[in-house]
Parts: sequence; C-alpha cells; structure tokens
Amino acid sequence: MSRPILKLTKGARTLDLNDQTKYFLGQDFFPPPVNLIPSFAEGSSSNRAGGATLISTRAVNRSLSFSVMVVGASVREMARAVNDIQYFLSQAGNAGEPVYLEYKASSSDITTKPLWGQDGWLIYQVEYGIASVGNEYAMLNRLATNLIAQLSLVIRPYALGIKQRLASATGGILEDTIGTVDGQSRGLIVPEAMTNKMTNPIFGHGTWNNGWTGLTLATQNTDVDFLLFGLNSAKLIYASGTSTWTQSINVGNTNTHTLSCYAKRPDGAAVTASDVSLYYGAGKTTSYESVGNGWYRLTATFAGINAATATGVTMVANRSVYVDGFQIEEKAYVTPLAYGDMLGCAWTSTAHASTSTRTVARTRVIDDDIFNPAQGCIRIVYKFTVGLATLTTQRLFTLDNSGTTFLAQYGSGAQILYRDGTTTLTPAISNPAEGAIDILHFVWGPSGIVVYRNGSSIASNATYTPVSGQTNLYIGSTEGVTTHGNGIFMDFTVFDRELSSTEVAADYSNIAQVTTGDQRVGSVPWLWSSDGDDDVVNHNDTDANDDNWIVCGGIPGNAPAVTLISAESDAASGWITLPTLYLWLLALEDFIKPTEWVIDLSGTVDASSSGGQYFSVSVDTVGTNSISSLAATIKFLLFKALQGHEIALLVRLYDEGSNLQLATYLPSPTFLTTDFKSLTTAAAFRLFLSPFAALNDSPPGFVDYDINPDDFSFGITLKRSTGTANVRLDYIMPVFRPLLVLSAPNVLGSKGFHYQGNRAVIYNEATAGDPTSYPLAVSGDAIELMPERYNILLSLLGDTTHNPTIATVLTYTKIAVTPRWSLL
Amino acid sequence: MAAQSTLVIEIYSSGSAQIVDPNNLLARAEGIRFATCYPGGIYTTASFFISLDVTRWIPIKHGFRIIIRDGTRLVWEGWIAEVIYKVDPARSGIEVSCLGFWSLLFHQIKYNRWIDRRFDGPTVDIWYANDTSANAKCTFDKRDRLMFIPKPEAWSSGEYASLRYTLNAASNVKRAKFTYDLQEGAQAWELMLYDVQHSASLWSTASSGSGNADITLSASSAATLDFRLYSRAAQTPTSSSIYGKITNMSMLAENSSGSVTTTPTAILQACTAEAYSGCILSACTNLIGSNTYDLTDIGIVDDGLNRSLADFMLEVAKLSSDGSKWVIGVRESEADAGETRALLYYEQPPALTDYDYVLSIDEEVLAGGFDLVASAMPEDVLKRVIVKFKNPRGLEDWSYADKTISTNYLSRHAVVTADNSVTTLIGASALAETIIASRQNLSYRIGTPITIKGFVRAKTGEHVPASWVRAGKRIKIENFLGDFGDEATGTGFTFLISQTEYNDENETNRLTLGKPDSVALDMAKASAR
Repeated sequence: MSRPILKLTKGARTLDLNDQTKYFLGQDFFPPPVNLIPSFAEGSSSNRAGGATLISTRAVNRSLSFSVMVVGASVREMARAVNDIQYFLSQAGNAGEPVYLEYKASSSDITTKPLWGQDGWLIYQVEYGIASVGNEYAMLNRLATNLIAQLSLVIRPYALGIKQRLASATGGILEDTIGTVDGQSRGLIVPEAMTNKMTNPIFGHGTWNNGWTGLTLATQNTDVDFLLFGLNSAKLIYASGTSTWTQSINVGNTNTHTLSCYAKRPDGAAVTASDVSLYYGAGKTTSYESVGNGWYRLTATFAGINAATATGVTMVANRSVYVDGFQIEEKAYVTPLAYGDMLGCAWTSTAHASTSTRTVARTRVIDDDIFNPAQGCIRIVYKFTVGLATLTTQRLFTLDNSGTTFLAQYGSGAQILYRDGTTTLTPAISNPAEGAIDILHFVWGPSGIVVYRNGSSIASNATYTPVSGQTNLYIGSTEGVTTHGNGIFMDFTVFDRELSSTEVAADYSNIAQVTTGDQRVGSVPWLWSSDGDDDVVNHNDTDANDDNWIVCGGIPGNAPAVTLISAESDAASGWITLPTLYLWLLALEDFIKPTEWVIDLSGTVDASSSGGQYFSVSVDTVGTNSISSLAATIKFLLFKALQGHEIALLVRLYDEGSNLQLATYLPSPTFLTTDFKSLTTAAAFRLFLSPFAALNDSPPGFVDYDINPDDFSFGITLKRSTGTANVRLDYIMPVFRPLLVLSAPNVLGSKGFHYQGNRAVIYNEATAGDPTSYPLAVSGDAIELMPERYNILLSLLGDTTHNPTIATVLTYTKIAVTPRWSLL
Repeated sequence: MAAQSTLVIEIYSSGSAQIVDPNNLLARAEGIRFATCYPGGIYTTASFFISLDVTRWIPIKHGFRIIIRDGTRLVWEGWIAEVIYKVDPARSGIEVSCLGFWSLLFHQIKYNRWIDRRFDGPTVDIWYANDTSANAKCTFDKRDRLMFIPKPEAWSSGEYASLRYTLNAASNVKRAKFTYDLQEGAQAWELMLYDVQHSASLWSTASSGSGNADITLSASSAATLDFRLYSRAAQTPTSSSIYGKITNMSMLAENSSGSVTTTPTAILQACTAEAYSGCILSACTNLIGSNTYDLTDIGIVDDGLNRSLADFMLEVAKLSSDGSKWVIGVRESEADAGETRALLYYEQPPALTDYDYVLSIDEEVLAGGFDLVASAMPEDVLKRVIVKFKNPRGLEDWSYADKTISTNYLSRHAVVTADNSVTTLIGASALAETIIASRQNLSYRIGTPITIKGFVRAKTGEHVPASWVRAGKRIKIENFLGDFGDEATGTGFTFLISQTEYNDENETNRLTLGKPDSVALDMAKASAR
C-alpha cells in the first residue's frame, strides 16, 4: 500500500516520521503552500475601475503543524521516540547544516532520492520546531502504547527540490514548447546538425512575405493564437487562381530532402490533405503529425532538384490554414525546425533572407554528478519526433571512455540496444511511430543489467561489470555527437542504486499518467556555451566563440531556483589582475542572441579591442548628442521581453583627457538621458557602468489588442566638465537587472569563486574540491535561474582601474540549482 | 453620479517639460495628501506613496515641480522636497514629500534693500565713525538721530568728523530724505551729505537753522555716503550748543529702473524679481494688487539683509493707508496664462458678503460634526487698540485707534506690540486702525475643522469634488434663516477657509474655517503670549 514518505534529515542523519513501525504520519499532514506576501499598488482616486497592480511578492517563513502517531511497547521506549523527534527539531536553525523535512507523496514507486533529477521530492528547510504531546499522555494505557506527537514547525517559504548540476551543452539544443498550451516545455531535444534551406522560414523578414509568392489571399497574421515562431505566420485562404504558397528554393543537389512546416486550422480541427499539402515543384504526399494546440507538422520526403523550385504548400479550394516554420533539409527524415535566431543556429547571410544552419547539439554531465558505476538506474521518458522505422538509430545516452561504451539507443532492426560496457542487450520492439512515448528504465548493479520498457522487463543479464575511466555521460548523442535521437527527452533521471522490478513497475504506472497528457515528467537542466566548454571570453562580438554569455535552461521548479555558480578566470593573477566581476541575467521566454545588442565600435585597428578595432571621438563640455550614433537599435522582441526592466551600459573606453562624464541615452522609444556620472578615467582602457534608467513598460492591456512596442534603441552620451579630448570606445554593452557585482576587497591571487544568493567566496583552485576561502564583496541583485526560461547569463571582468582585457576567459566550473516549488 | 476626484500627478523637470516616466510610476501613486492655507500658502504640503522596489531607478528628483490635478484641474502645486525610501518587509516603496513654493521664500535670504531708516545697526556700514577724519574731536549720538557734537578741542579749518553709510546690497542709494538741524553759535561749521564714491557734496548747510532735505542723486547713485561736520575755521567749540543733527532719515535704494521703490506693491514686485532669480517664482506680477501706501517715511526700519524674503514681505504687505487688510502668498503657476512657475499674490482677502461653496449641517457629505463658536472674548471684540512700537531711536512709543462697539459687549482694550515694521506714529495709527476694524463685532468661527467627504456644493449649485476646495475660498453654512451676531442680514454664516487637508485615500477634505485675522494681529497676539 502506498504511503507518504516524510523524514527529518540533517546532513547524514535521518529520522523517518512514517516508518510504519515506530512512527505513523497523521492524516492532517499536507504539503503547505508557499507563503508569499504580495504588495499591490492601488494608485490614486483616478483609479476607479482598474483595481490594484501586483508590484512584488516576498516569501516569508510559514508555520507547519501535523501529528505523528508514536507507537511503543513501554513508557521508556515511548519517551525515547518522542524525544528523538524533539532532538532533531532542536537542531534546526543552523544555516550551515539545516534540518530538512523531506517529503514524497508515495512510497510505492522509488523511495530514494535520485542522483540526478527530481522525481517528486519536496524538501522543507526547518528553521524552528517543537514536538508536543496531548492530554492523552496522562492515560496510562496510551503512555506505553501509542501517543500522538504534534510537530509545530517554522519552515522556509518554498519547498526545495534536489540539487542538480546543469548539464554542459552546446549546439542547437532546444526546449520543445511547440504546441504546448501552457507554454511549458515538453522536454529537451538534442538534435543533429542541419541546414534549413528556406530563406524566410518564419516570415520574420521586415517584409513579412519576402520571397513568398502564390495565393492571392495570403495575409500576415499576428494573432498569437495562430503564431508559433517570431512575429508572424501566414494566413492562407484559397478561393481561386493559384493554389500554392511557395518560395523559390534551389537545394543545390538531387539528394533526398525533407520538407516540413507547421499548420493550424482556424477552428483548431485536424489538418489533413483536405486542407493543405506540402509542395515541391508539385504536390507531395504529406504526413500530418499533431504537435498540440491544433498545430500539425506536415512532412514530405523526396529527391531534391538542383534548380530553383517552388517550395511550400498547396491549398485545397475554399480551405484556410495558418502556416509557419518551414524547413527543407537534406535528410531523409525531418528534424526539429531551425532558423538563424535560435540557440545554436545562425543565418548564413542576411537574417530572414538566407538559409539557416544548426550546429550539432551536445549535452553531457560529468559522471560524478550523474553516474554511479557500481549500480544505478537511468530513467528516460522519450518521445519520438521521427518514427524508428524512418530514423533507425536514435541514441539515448553514452558514457564516454567506458570500455566498449556504456550506452543505450534505439537500434536498427527495431530494437533497443543497452550495453553496460561488456554485455549488450538488444531486445526487439515494434517500431515506435512518430509521436510515440516510451518510458525506459536502464538498470545496472550487483543483480546484473535490465532494460524495462513501459514498466516491463524486456531484457536482462545476470552480471554487471562496473565500468571505469568515464568522464561524461552524454544525453541524446554519441560522444562524438555523430549520432543523435532527435527525440524529446521528457525525463532523464538517474538513480544511484538498482531499482527492483516492483519499483520500476510502480514508477511507470505513476508517471505514465503524466506522459499520457503529453507533458514532461522531469526537466533536464543545461548550461549552454557556444563552444561547449562552459567558458566565456571578456567581450562579445560576432566572431565564433567570442561570447561573454552562456544560456541556462531546463531549470526545474516553478520559482527561481537556488543557484550555485562556480567559476574561475584565467587572469594571470586572478582577482588581483581583475578584482571586479559584473554578472547579469536575462531570463527570456524566447531566446535572443546577446550579440545582437552589443555596440561593438570600430574605426581604428587595435588587436586588443573587441572586433579588432575601436572608435575614437572627440568629447567636449557640451553634453552633446553628437555620438548618438553610438546607440544601437534592437528588435522589439527583446524590448517586449525587457519592458519595464532597468538598463545601464558597461562601456570599455580609453580616455585621452580627463573630467569625463557618462550618461545612459535611450533615444527611442522614449527619449531619455540620465544624469551624467563623473568618471575617473585613465589613458588606458577601463570598464565603466553608466547610470541605470528604466525602459518603458507595456501599457496595460495593449498586448490583448495585438499592439506591440516599437524597436528599442540605447546608447551613451559623453561630455566633460572641462576641456576637450578624444575618447576611444571599444564596446558598449547593455546591462539589465538582476546585476550582480563581485569584487575582491583585498589582494587575492585566487582565480575562482563560488556564489549563491548574497554570498560569494573565492576558492582555492589548487586544492582538490575547490574549498572556500576569502569572502568576496557582493553587491547588486541575486542571480537565480528561472524555470521555463532561457536564462542568459552575461559577464564582464574589469572595472574603472583595471583593464577589461578582452581575451580573459571565465570558465563556469559548475552551475547547480536546487529547485524551488511553490506547492507540489 | 456625484462629482468625484480623480487625482493624477505630474512632475516637471523644468518649465513645461514633464519627466519621462517609462514605467508609469506616477500612475501608481497612492495615499495622496495635500494641504493649503490662507493667507500665505496657498499650497503648503503634499505627499504620496509609490509601491516599488526601492533599488530601482526612478525619474523623480528633488526640486522638480509637481502638480496634482483632479482631472485637468490643478489642485496643488509645489516642489519635491524629500524622498523616503521605505524598506518595509510588507510593502516597500518611496514616500515623496512636497512643499509649496511659499515655503522656499522663508529660506531665501533677502538681498536687496529698499528703504533703510536705521541710524545704527548690529552690522557694519550703518553710519559708523570713519577713522580717516577728525572723529576723535567729535562726540556722536546715534540713538534716534545722527548727532555731531564737536569736542572743545582746537579744530583746524577744513577738519571734519564723519559718519559713513554703505548700502552694501545689490543697489546704491538713490534718494536721501532727512531733517537737519545745525547750530554753530558764533563759529563757522558746515553740515554736509557727501558722496564718497564720487567725491562730491550732495547737500550742505553752513548756517544755524533746521529744515528738511530730500535729495535725489541725479546722475549716479552712491554706494557710500558720509554725513560730515566741517570746521570752517581754526576754532575751538565753546559749548555743547554747537552741533549738527540729522533725524527722520530714510535712505532709499535705487531699483532696476533707476528710481526708488516706496509702496508695498512696488516692493513686493521687486521681491518677486528676486525670487524669480532664485528660480522659485515667476517674474509675473499680475497677481500683486495695488497698494500705493507710501512707506518712505514709515515702517521698514530693519531693511537689513539678515532676514528671509518671506519675513520681509509679510512685514511690508500688511501696511495700508486705510486700515484695509492685505495678505500675501503664492498661487499656482496656472493662475496666469503661459506661466510655468508659481506666482506671488498680494490681495485683500475676499469679502464675506459673498461665498464660493455651500454646506448644510445635515448634508451627507459632512463627516462628523463641528462646533460653531460665537465669541465676545476680550481679544475678539475691542473698543480701543493701542499699538506700541519702537521709534528709530529704539525708544517705545505708541498710538491708538478707537471704534464704537455694542455696549452689551462692555468696553475692552488691547495693547498690541508692533514688530519692527512700525517705527512712526503714523504707522502705529494705521496698524491700530487695521486691527480694530476686524474686532468690532462678535467673532464667530468653527471650533474644530469640518471634514467633508466626496464633494461640496458650489454657490451655483453644482457638485464640486472635495479636492477642489482650497484655502482662501469661502464657504457658507446653510440652515440658519436668521443671521448671526453682529453680521449684517444676508451675510449668513460665511467663513473664510483658512486651511484644508485633503486625503485621497478616503476622499475627504478637512477644512479649518474662521474669519480672517490680519497678519499683524496674529503676530501681535503671539507676541503678547
């Protein structure tokens, strides 16, 4: 029979409050909701009908009270059992090693916490607690048999999850949100490399239908109910005349190609060949796969034509559909859509007027954080985006350097291949079709190895030889990223012990109900860097890997996660060389490349400047806008995401004079120049932060009328309190809040740091385990990664007295999150 | 629906340029409160709260001009004086406190002089003995005069004793008015007003006798003047009957037009220019009423530089030739077309024979009750007012005014000590007339403030939002068919609103009502306490 798991823990010590022997949890226990204090702005008497606006919330500690039936056989045993509870609670309040109350709703599936993943555990940090007994204590027969102990706790506001290191990722990974009604990701896709040969695939060109021809009743759609990507989709109606809606594409060869697009009917009903079909010189046999919320993905595979060919869709008379996300790729199967704005993708030339490339994706986790070579279990929930009959090898995971490789994949010949480095199991399965979801458990340990598919064992071997020498576990690809799955990882959870067949069966029946709803079971958190080595450089230009940003995604929880960031620079003398680090976060629903909003100036060649050049301008006392040309315009998508945010600018500049003053300049959509800030400059490049200003917020309700903001421009204005001299400007980079500034208050030669919340310390990178050392000064805002967001984390090292040398590298040695849950 | 307030806030960084408020923070402003007073004011204090993350950048800066409107109507104007960043676990935000521009005039030190009647002063340059001349041979008396008494020592011909005056302000002396008296006996002496700056005699007399002099400097005004007593022969004074004396002296400063400024209106207009240069007020003088009472020979004995502009203006404003009341304060910029700064007003309070608003004692907008006080207390009804003052010599003198009151009230007198603005019998008499004019009948007032909620009726019947009601307006209490006390039939219970405190949270306006006292009497009463 299933029972809740509820344990008090402190470090390695535990007390099971529902062990069904001595302690029985009362029925009055329930997971408490988060305790948030909202703050509303009500406005003045002019606000007669609008009500109050939520300005902020603040989570505060909450009370939790529940009972535990304590069972004993003697008075002394009873007293000891009650005292044990109180003893545990009396240790609460130690921030260094807190007391936790760990809860899982059901003990019928897996009773231990996973090594990498969440699996439904809720962990409450206990700040204070007392245990008491009621008046039945005086009843002698109860005193020696059973008593109800009442636990009265004060706990932290949120339930926590299990700390989890972010996987190291690169290339065109993506969270699958296509067709999800609530916008929450369905899971992680680790796709292979690809070129999308459509040149305006999501109608994102300034002229929305640039390159598209055909139907006379093809119109631009901005209604968000019929949008999947970017700003526009095409609304197609065929009444008479030409039935096609196409771009002229020359795929360049006659190899097999696959054309795909997304379509949705106005009534949300199934899209079929009676509505629209794919077209490549002629109508093509098209398959239709529902992707949710009325959207269908249409695919067709055929031989390419080495000549310009009308590529798109053809309509059936008197039908109407919305179409978006076109792709033609040189493959015999469809892969996830790619266009140049996506993470790990790029336009080969002009944005939305050229083909797009997707860099091969890779996701891996250092083995210590994810893999126990002695025993364990990997649970995968996998959704096929291409049927196994079409894409005959779909890699699930790979443990590198592990003898003959510890791996699992769907293999050709309709099988699952699971190899522990020695033994290979190849149970046959019927080919899963596109859209099918499998729940797999790969178990290894003293009992051997077993493959479970949808709760049932389909193959096993009685012995397991522990692997060694591995470094990383690759999720969704081979080590060399030559083979992928392209499917959706709706869960990837690793346990560090064998699971029994009973546990697997119970686990399956528990989570299968989630996958039936096409929803994710567990997220796969990742840290993306441009070249996959988790590092950034100290500037940002269009050159490959010259980025000062990483992206974190797949963050579990439903509130900002407790985030541990560990990193170290390669500055010669660490914090002595560069004692100040700016770190800021943009948590966006849609990924936008930070490179697009950097003003990388040029004019004079200088190898030590970003982009190889800087810009020189004469600055006098006028407070002139003569350098308004330094303002950059970025597209409204970013502005939409940033409305209401505060912006400042980090400027790398070299002053040939003195008495320089700097202001933030926002020429549009609202002209605003901040107060000037006096700078102490030098005849050398330094890093300066301009004053913060706020960006326009969205007028309430405008979005409901499909009214979007205009493009957004920003820049700087310089002047001098006296004198005239040139200023050399290397780059101007917008900074948004939350902004964290770490600085070394003393001369510290170490290069690394650990950061969490409002604390940061340097670490001694020369000692194993990177032990904490001298505290860093922390100012600004807390950096905490957000669930369901592309968390773009940007950094610059340098300050007003230290040159922010552009070649300096900052390596994120570890980013780990502990999710926060508001309720469950 | 009843008239209702819809308050909005506007903030101006300069002139008519409103601040850029990209996050519409001002729309979040809540808890708006503002107050007015009359006389003075009119806009005194205001405050509001904006809920936000206090670490955010905000476009609100100290010193910016702020207007609170009800719809399009200006109901308060001032400047941002204080921003409190409230870090509150439950509710963080900023609390913005504002003051009316009137407040700044109390912190703007007067720089110009207009009429200086001092014979001596605690500061330098007020008729001091000039060491460079034969002052050692002369005795000076400056208690109510400038008196030269040559000592019985041998004086050479051409030696002189002198007292020197330097205006020491933004302008020079343009006119000197005084009474002289020279007594030389059988000797040869000369009394002279000398322009030190231009080394020229402006006036002199060399024979025994007295008279009045009114000297207007023709070409150039002078920063420094001497009164000199010359010995016109080698002689030794034989008795104290030989002297030179100056009394009833006024030194009038040159204004920007090259003439002197001698009336309250003209002086206040000049003060406006001074406040304008400090970016406090508009230069517009359209709201400064005409009071042509000539102050050349009265008042303003202390035209020093150690006082605030407001203090000085209050002193000047109250004097009139006919006992009429005059009040001064600051009105909103929009009181005159095209202005973006507040305007000085100078006016006689509105007569209570008319009214602006009407209130019934059983009206639902009246929140709570109030006391109507009719008073014949000794300080409220007076038969005689005696004004004590200090003359230019610093000696106490007095004048008085009498009026007939109802015998029912019994005779009562009041002695009022004037401030330094009154230095002559004429001035004291004028002030006494002013005071007693407002103390001939029963005094009635509202003992506690009246709180109105939502709206009030205008004289013409329409409902006016409570936020519009400001000090300086009149309100009539209905319900009493007969008139009250000594008031003439038909004037009713009409009160001048002397103070308002509007609270937007509950849309109430707390009105302090009463008959207007003259500033002088208020001051006199305070002094008496």
